[in-house]
Amino acid sequence: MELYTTEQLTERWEAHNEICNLVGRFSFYELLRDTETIKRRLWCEDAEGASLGLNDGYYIGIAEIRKYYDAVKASDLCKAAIAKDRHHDVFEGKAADDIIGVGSLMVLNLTTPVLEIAKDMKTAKGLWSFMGGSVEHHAPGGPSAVNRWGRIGIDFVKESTGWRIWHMIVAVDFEAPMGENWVMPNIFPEPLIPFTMQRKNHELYHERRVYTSFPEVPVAYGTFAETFSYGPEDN
Amino acid sequence: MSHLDIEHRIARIEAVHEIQNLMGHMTYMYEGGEYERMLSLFAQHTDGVTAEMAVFGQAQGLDGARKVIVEFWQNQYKRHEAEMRKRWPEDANETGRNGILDLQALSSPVIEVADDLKTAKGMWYAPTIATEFHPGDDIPSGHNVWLKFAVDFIMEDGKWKIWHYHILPSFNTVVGKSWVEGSLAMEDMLKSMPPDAMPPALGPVTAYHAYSVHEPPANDPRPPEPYRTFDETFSY
Repeated sequence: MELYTTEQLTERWEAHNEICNLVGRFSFYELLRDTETIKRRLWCEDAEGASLGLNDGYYIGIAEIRKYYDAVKASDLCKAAIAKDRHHDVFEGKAADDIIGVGSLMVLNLTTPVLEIAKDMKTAKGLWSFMGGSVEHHAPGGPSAVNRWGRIGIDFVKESTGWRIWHMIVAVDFEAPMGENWVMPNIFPEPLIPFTMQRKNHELYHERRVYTSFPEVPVAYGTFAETFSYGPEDN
Repeated sequence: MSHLDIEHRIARIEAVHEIQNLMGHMTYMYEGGEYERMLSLFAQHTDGVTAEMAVFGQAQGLDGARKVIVEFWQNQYKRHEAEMRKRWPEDANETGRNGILDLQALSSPVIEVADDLKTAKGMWYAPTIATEFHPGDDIPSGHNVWLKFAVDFIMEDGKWKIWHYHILPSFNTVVGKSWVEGSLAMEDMLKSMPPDAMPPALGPVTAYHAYSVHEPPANDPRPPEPYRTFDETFSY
């Protein structure tokens, strides 16, 4: 068992709480479609090799990650424009910018945390399950609700402004219209912008899928060199 | 490096976990129908206790909290009980809660404890399910109810207690129906609720934005930020 001084233990538990709050805020900013705050406040600024992974690839480097969030915002603006077009009477006089996020319910209910702070206090790793939902606007009949469940693995780095997201992998198990069985075929839409690195990280559920425990559950570690990364192995 | 001494910092860390436990207790009591016990988790002799849920407005004091936490749910489930007894008169149903399944999963917590250790603020998002027997149905219905909890806590007699309690459902839909459909049917649903299901307005609605296909998401109330004393922050 590691022996820490009282000061060290206090710092470690403060880090634990700060990271839990960061992840909670991430969930609420996703709900608000506030990509600017996610980029500016939650993601790292200085750390090398930042990455955002999805089922089918990675965005590598903070510049690419910010481009991804810009694409998310552009997509949200497009959805707002669709909503405005469908409901002239409701949105008369409003620009798409005024109603960005309209009708969305991008909920990430982050639960079942496993969080490890490195012994050297420079990094941390956490895994959460999410049981979430969203709304798709492009369905011919209008917006439709979608259930989306999976796991998120995050490496955190301590910067001068506090703990920040360094590597994130979002592994979706299924994305199914509300009320429909997730055993029905799950099909992901094309990525908003091309991945920096295309890679099949995680398969969507299908009835013959072989289960894999991905992302990996973190365990206690001393320095980041001793553990695995939630980014691509060679990053 | 923090400006607070180490005992203070440890006390703030412990407070986060005590508050998580308090909300956990609240959840499990709710699931068990122990509404009166839920009131015991509120501050008992501190001024300014409030409780607010959805469109019903902010109720003041412990008496107001009783209306929101106890009486609303007791009335709600009296109707359920009546339908259950009609449908299955052979069942003993000693507690009147046969067929109820109310589960809440508190997730995505953001908890900030004031530097002065006198108050704290927390926000959670909770996917929940509820089960009710609606008049005219043959069996109870399962509902998906996803909601936000925004809570201020206060230290009272050495224990953390709920001071301001605000529940904001995003949607309440029958299982199998999407919240988009629920949003579009919300007005009809409110109109179809029996008059005694809606308590009289308990006070002004301080903030409430149910999911709407016609509205962007609202950051009100917003997650808490670090603060030193309660007069520097906002109230839930």
